[in-house]
Amino acid sequence: MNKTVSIHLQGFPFIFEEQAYATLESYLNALRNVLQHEEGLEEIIQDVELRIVELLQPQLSAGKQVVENKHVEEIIAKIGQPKDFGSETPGMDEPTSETKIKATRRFFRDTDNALLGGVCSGAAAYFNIDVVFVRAIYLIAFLTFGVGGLLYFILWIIIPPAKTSSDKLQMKGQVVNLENMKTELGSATNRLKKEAKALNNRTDIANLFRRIARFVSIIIGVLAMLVGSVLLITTLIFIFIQPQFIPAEINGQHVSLSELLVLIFDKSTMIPLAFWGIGLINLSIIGLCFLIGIRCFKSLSSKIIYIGMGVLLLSFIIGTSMAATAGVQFAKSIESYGEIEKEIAIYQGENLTISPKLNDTKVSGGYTIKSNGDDLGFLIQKNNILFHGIEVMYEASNDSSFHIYQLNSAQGSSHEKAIYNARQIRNISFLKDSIFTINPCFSFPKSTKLRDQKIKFRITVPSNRSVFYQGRRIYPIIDSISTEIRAHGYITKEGDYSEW
Amino acid sequence: MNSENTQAQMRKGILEYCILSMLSSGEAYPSEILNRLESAQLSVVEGTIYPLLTRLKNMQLLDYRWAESTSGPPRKYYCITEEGRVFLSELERTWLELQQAVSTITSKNTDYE
Repeated sequence: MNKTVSIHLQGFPFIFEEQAYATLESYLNALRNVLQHEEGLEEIIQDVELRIVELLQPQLSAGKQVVENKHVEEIIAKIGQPKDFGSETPGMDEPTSETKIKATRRFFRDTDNALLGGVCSGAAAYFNIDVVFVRAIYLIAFLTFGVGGLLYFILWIIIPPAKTSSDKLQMKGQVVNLENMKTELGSATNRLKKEAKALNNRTDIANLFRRIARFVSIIIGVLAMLVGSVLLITTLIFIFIQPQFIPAEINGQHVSLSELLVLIFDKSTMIPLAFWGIGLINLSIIGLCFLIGIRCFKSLSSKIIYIGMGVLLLSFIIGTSMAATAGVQFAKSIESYGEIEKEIAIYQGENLTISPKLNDTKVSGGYTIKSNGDDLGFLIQKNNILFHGIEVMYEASNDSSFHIYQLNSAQGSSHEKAIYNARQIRNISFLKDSIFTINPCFSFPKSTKLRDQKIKFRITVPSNRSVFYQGRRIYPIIDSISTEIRAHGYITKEGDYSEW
Repeated sequence: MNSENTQAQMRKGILEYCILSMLSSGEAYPSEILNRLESAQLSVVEGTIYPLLTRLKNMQLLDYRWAESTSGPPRKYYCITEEGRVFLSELERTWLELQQAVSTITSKNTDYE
């Protein structure tokens, strides 16, 4: 009993014995190899295949159904050996042809010895080392640096599988000639036989695995496409609609990303750089998602994959360098920290009461805050930026008086710049009789940008005196867990006080 | 080198001329060309004519058309182009000159013997 394969030659169906098919394939591959520099190679192969069809058909019409090896050998004898197709002068360069054909080595995925996609086994074949070492090195790198997972998938996508016998020979860096091709085909046939045998024993399990693999690949594909679509839509919305989603109000509306960027960068040239840099990075990730997604559903030509990966990599690199330039510039602009302190009041009475100033609080420049209670972030006004929340610290006083200090802090490109930014912060809090009225908001000019501006009040308290907030003593009180005096408090813009 | 190689080379050299000449009197498909070469006792390896026909076609000396066949695969009927005819007439002249020269030389040689 012989196994058969069913093939189409130039559109004509034939049933070949396994061996006959192997002979024919190695013959055609050898032809391609000999004629590889010939113009119109495909046409010549087509002519030869048509001739083979022409010669096969009368043989089969005589009641025979299956093409046997001897048929193929007869036909090859009639048409001629691959060397006869070659140069105009056969025989002359024949002996040297062996040495002339350079053994080119190409990186293919070795799908025959694959665990997953055949990347490691392909690399092993390429470098001619044992695949176990490659897998071990890969696994160690993956576990140590944790970057290998994505890299594997990228390599899986961009490296073509070794499909034909000549691919497989090139993968191992062997000369593609008829002799090697036969050996390779022989081992392929053996492999097929082995696989077929194994398949017979556990067809169900194999089918199950194949179905699971297909299922997983479809899931991955769908997920990749989904992530890609969501990212794409989000990115497009960001670029074209510019949603005002950041809770920092201008005229009662939230601000958009580019409006926020204006408040971050010193140099206005950095704004489009950051904006489009982030956009390009996003687009390249989206592209990768789609490429992976499409690859999971249908096979793509390696040319398309190479071009796609190239474009994506380029846009990722450009985007990253744009964003990095902006990032470095931003990092420079917040490099230094500056803090200034000023004593704003002295109180010599019994106990001090802190009271928040809430409604219609006046800030510098005659602006009025209209606190509506539901905004989370900061408020951007025409010329100023308004922040909420003020920290209070307590210390023991050296004398018999309360001393109230105001601390302004900010970041800046230099210490001087940071101090300058800190000096620009405005807050109106004042002591009247025993009541220290704290305005829980502070403002600074838009031109100083967002530089982590903060205001704190430091209050020194004489011994045996207390500080009250809305009738409740807030200093000194003992923390029930650490049994230490709580020396910090925080006032929100709603006037809620919390201590720690 | 054995004489077989030399013979094969000689045959190959004149193959182009023979095919162009054959096609100048009407179109033909590859198997037909092979049959006619064979019946003329000019034995060539089949494989040589496929690259040759394609090369001649690429040089625009030949053209072809597809035709259905009742008994097998579609056939590629080759025909000669105008350029091919010009080329052929040059080959014809060269061939005659060569023939003359060769026969002169070889007959002299036989005289010496």
